[in-house]
Amino acid sequence: MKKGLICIVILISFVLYGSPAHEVEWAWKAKRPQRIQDVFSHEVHKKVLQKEGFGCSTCHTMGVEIKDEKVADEMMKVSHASFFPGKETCHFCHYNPKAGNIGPDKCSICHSNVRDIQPANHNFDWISKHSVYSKGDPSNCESCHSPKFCEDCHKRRDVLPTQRYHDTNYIFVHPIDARADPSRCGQCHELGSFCDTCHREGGYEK
Amino acid sequence: MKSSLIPLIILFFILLPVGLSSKEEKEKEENPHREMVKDQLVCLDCHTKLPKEGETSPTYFLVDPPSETCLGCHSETEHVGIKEHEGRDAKPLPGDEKGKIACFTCHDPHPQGVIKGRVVYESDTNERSRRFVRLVVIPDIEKRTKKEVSSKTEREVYLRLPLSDNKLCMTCHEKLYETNWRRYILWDKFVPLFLY
Repeated sequence: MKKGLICIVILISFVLYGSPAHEVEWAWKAKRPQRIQDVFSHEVHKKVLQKEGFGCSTCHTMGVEIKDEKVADEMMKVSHASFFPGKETCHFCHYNPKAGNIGPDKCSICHSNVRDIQPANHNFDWISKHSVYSKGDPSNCESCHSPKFCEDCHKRRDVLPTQRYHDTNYIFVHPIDARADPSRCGQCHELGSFCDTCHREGGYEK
Repeated sequence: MKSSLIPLIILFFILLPVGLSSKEEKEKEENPHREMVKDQLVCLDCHTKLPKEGETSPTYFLVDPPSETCLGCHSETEHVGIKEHEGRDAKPLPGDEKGKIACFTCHDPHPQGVIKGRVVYESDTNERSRRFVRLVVIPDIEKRTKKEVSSKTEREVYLRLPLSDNKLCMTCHEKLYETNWRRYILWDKFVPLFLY
């Protein structure tokens, strides 16, 4: 009897967490280091960069001088910046929408919480607002998204886009996501009217 | 009056480049590092005496304390990374009076040919690496510091060991700083397999 109950509990938890729209936040994940330099591996990069003919001094550049002044304080800032590579240096290989990525391009390799790097305006009802921004300055979108990202929705001929859909059982588990983080639903759906199509005063109509 | 001035002005413009180039050449000649190859007396600019073969001293027979010798001509901010290395142990390379990193830990003040059998290296990074620094790293530094910076073009930096194959850096940085990255990457790869 007890074994059966345990099996049912495990099964239910798998169904609940099985939704691809759900961002899994296990306890171990919270312990992940927040700083990028704590997940960086010199060992891995050394092997790759040596093949490319790059040495230590390519990323930790020593041959840099300030053009206009040589004040010690200013030099310290530049020194620190040239000694510890910035995001443009990393992104040249790992995130380069224009030239293509040479290295692995999964953002979560370095950014333990991908939502930290999400722009603030990608918020409520972003799906209906995004066209105004993208038409205003397409290069802004291209700084993060490759053209394929847009084409996935805009150029496909079949009914469903390849991304941004929920599992068929999502209607049963969506309250968990909606209560945990309503802003996440709001990225695609207009929160008031979209929810109200089913949820009206006094409960469910559908 | 006017007609007598014109030839003088023309002469001035003809001789100007000659004068400028001779000034540059004079500066080049005055570089004691280059001079010491030809003239042993230049050694006494920094040293108290010319040591005999095999003779050593913890102060390298220098006039000033070893940590200050280079600062007579060079700035403390000659290039980036100096402050980051300051106060760290120089071993196995030569250090200052306290055994800490000084300019001469990485740079050999004596060009090739001054000390018998000693090899001195130039900055030998390849063109590809230099281009990456120029096109990617420098703009990145400028963006973060909001300062206009440039990469040093001089290659004659008298290094004790070559930069290629990271020999100079790896003399001290034998063991590179390593993180627990495997654990996070494995978790990221395998945990979703069981969850989705």
